[in-house]
Amino acid sequence: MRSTHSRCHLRRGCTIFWYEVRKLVGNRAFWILLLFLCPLLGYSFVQAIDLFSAASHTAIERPELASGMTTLDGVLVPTLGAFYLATTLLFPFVAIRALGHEKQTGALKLGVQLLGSGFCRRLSRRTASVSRFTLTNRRVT
Amino acid sequence: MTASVETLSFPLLEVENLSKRFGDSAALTSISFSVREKEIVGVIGPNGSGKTTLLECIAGLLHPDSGTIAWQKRAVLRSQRKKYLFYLPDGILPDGEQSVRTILKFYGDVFAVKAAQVQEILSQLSLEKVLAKPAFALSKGYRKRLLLATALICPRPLLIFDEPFDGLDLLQTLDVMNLLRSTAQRGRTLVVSIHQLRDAERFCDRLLLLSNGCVLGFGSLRELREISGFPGASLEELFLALNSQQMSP
Repeated sequence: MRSTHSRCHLRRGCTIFWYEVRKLVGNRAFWILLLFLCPLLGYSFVQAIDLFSAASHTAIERPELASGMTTLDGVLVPTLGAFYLATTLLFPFVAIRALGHEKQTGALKLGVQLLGSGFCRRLSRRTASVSRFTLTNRRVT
Repeated sequence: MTASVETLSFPLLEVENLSKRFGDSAALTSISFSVREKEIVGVIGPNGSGKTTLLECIAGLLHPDSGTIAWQKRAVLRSQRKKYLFYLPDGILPDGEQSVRTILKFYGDVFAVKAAQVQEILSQLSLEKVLAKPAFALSKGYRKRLLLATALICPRPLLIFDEPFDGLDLLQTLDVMNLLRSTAQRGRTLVVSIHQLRDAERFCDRLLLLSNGCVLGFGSLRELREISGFPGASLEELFLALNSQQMSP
């Protein structure tokens, strides 16, 4: 009896989780964030290549320096570092905007009534936000 | 049109001495009433009389300063009320960027309601034409019907509606009244806030008259006529009479 009840709660939690993910992906602020990140990522990549090639010139003259140079550290880390920093700083605003919009339209009043426990609802929402954030970061890494 | 509620004497929800203040102003003062199973209770009053505050206190969205809310004679905590009732606020837009189909499917899935039942509700509310539209693109009437559909999908025994006929034209109002009436006949209990007294008169079994956060009267139209001493008076006349009685020293 108890396990059926838990399964029912879990199923509801999953439904809410996927709906929240869908809403986040459909959120305009999220796509604006991605639009902002694309040129930033491109610029970081070009800069990283420039710096790495300048360092490579020096390494031609000094072989001991060349042994310590890898493309992972020289190109990928600075490129994705900028991306990581930008998403860390900007993604919370996307989540805040989504929540603020729900509060403004009153949809939050309906939302808090969906599950028996407000804790489950908050947990689903936060898990959705964290998953979205993780996916955004892992997509490139 | 009103059902005989004398036979339906089982009190489902009881509100006792509910009070709520916002700063210095009293929004609700010692509100007491009860709701019987399968009946439709109308909360009637002008703008600012405390209807929405009362409904939000019952639903658990607002914390009252004092008073108790009991379900089948047992006091229920705010967090527990979601098990028994569903409150539909007025003037909200659920998930505007999602399509009507997505929203209704989501509510059907969350409340574990069969797709056929969801389909029946949306056809009763004539929502088939707008299924593919995003909620923000709907007209006021369709938006209201979408909200009503989300509430009717919810299988909880008590449904609370804040102004369910607001934004609907005459024919739509009559259709929604019939739909809600048949919902009550099938075993659901409804608490409805209405500021159109003519709508309230023909739709509700019992009426809670509110003015400035205080109860002017509670009962069926016949009982209210007896209390006020105006046999044959309309609800509008009764409301005005009871209001002036309360105002007079």
